[in-house]
Amino acid sequence: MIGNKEITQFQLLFVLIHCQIGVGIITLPNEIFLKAKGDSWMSVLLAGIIIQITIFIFGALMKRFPSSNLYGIIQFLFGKGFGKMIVILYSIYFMILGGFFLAKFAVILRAWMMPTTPKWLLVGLIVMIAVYIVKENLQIMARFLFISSITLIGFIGFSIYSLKEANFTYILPIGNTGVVPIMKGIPTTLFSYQGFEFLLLIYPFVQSDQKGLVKVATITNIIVTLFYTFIVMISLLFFSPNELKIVPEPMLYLVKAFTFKIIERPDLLFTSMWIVLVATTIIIVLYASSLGLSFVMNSNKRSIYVFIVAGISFFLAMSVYGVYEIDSVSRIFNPFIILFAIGFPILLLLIAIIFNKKEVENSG
Amino acid sequence: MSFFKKNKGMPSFVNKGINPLFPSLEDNIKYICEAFNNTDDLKMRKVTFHEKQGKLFYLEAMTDPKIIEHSFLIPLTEADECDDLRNVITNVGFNTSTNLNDAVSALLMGSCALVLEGEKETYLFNTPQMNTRAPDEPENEKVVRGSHLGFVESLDINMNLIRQRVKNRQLMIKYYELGMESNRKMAIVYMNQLANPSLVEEIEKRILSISMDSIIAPGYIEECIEEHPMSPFPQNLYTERPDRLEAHLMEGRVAIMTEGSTDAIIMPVTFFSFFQSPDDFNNRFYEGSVFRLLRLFSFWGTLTFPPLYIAVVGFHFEIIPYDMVVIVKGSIENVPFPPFVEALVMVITIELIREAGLRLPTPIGQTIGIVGGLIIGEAVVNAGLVSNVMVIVIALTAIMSFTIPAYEMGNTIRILLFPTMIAAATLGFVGIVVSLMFIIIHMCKLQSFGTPYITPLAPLNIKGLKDALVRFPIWSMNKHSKDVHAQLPLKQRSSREWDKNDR
Repeated sequence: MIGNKEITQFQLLFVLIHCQIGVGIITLPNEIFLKAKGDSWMSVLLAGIIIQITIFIFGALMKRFPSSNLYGIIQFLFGKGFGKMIVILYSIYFMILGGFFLAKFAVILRAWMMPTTPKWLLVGLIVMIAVYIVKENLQIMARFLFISSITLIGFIGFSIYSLKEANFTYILPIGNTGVVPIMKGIPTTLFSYQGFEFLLLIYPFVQSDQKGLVKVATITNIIVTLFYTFIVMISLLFFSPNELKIVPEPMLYLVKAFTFKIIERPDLLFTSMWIVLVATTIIIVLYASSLGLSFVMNSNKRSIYVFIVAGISFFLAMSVYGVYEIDSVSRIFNPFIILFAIGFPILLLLIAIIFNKKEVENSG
Repeated sequence: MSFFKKNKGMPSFVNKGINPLFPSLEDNIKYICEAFNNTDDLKMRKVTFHEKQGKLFYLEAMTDPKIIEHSFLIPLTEADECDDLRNVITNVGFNTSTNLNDAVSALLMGSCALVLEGEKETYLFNTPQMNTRAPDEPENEKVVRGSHLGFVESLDINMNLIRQRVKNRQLMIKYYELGMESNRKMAIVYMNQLANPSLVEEIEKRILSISMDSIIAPGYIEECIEEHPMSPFPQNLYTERPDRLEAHLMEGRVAIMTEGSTDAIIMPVTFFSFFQSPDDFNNRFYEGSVFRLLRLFSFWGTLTFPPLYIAVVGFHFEIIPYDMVVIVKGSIENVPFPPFVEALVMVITIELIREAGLRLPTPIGQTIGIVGGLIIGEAVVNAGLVSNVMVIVIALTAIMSFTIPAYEMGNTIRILLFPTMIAAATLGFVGIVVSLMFIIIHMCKLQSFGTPYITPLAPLNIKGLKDALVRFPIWSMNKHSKDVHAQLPLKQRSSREWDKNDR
């Protein structure tokens, strides 16, 4: 009744959804269109399949180490010294991710809503919110992430409304761009999908066995993949290929095109809802990072590290300026995401299989 | 009791040790008189029983002379030679004690104390003067249908009201005395077979840890035992209605009542409990549901309407449709202040009217309402200090905040309005979203005795939503709400069994 720090499978579902859906949702259709043209939606689906395979790999890893998390596994397989270095790398990775998201958020928000508001204020507010909740335990985070899922309904609603003006010729003929562009689109999509490695960090805190975890992760993946495919598809159907090339934030432009009887510019509401999604992403990233640091320091007091991590992310975000700088950073950073989110867990599993390492069964 | 031991460090001007009776009557009299500092309302009466001299003590202000006559003095005159004194005293609350300090405490509770020459015991019997009003409808929790009975200031009568409603042997009433100096009697009430034992234990533990010299109102207890005393949100439900208390007791919740207060504090409660009203259950369930949704909407409406207006006018004029721009712009065109100042002035005015009208006698309160509401509202627009759209928004907000059945929750929301308005004035929609996120995160953090504050929404419990957001038909709510962790899950089986057999 009191002091229970675990979350249910249902809560995990929403935590994972918020891991994956975040800042990128607004820009994804444009980024991927530059690579895969009219078949972008196939890239998104394929990326979803790759994530699904990764989830099964995670499942195998979770089966071998049912009670420790990613950081624990790393330390177990690589020893204390080297393992802790890798965990620190992970923490840094999450911090950079946080800083990157914040920078992107600030750029888009300043372009669309708050042109004269100083950047530090916008970034600082989100960081403050994140710190306020990340200090607490996972259970409270899960509650908030569940409630903030209401915004997703708004997103889907606006998107469905835009189907009114869909033009299916924009994506026909299907597959005309060829296999290579579709494949090239996958890594870009993976960047938006980033976040599912969070499962490896929190699975010991979930009231579920390994099978249930994989099941929940699979359901999440299906939801998220469908959601992203839907968003990309709608952008493809709404904008002509020539338009989509030059609109950096297709979702916002799309919503801006509508007017309702009582709301002239729904994109302002849309952006407001998107702020919530940004906040949830930052919350998760900061949690992951602070978890890593407190693990390295063998400390039970995570809250101190939350402040450190949040501060570093804030300064990282402040040090990146402009759209082009963000683009170039994301180009450099993309391979790292694939390395940390997919590559490294696979490596861990391989090591565990080759050396036949398993978690020592506790008597309890 | 353990809490007295714990508080040994605290200086106390009352001697609470054991003091056996002195052998001589004079010493005893002296002791009791000195214990009361020879207060003028301490009365003594000479009594002779079996040739033994004695003294009957009582506090004139606390005792009912008729009861003293009937339960002691009249039987004493009729007593035989061989009768035992224990049989002579016909009082129900008869007791003896070898400790003089017990006698002093009992006198304070309205008892009489009889001290006889050479006896080692004092005879205590209960003769309190009850001075309470009759139960009537609580002013601040009125309902249209259903019971119109409310609690009064006497704990005994309140317990009687509860017992009359819940005629069940499992109804537990535990009395405690709180306040080191003022000895306030309080009761914990719960259903023994329903309430979770660990919850009851936790509440008892927290109550026993209170070390105050006097507990004046239940609010004192509440602030000491709630988990998040710094939160703006109320975490315990106050009620003056026995029927409401009964409903909560039968869900497995625990109530605290104190002597001298009409309020029962119910715990643990969730955010949604503050939006329930007994009227919901006396109406048809459509009405109950719609009106409860209306109240929940008012909560969020109060919080967001003025900020939205400020944000739209100050930042996002482009969001309102063209036709409305003309209206709004026309109304604020000649107003010299920024919308935030307008809103602040109006909100503070409304708060002033409320605060001024609250404690005044009803006729004057109405005058204040008319002067404040009509004259100021009208004049402020005519003078061009505040735009009329702003007056509409603020007035609507005030009305919405008063629809919330729990007075505390309405206050909370009006207080939270200020930071939200500041955020909207500085950051527009971003400010509103950020402050709403802060508030919701804060609500996620809150717990009331281990129960998450916004359950059954988060953590989600679909069945619990039946009685939270809306009110489902009573026959469809078969289980106790899960957040209380009641011992017996089932509330009813099928209460419309006849409907199924009837073909």
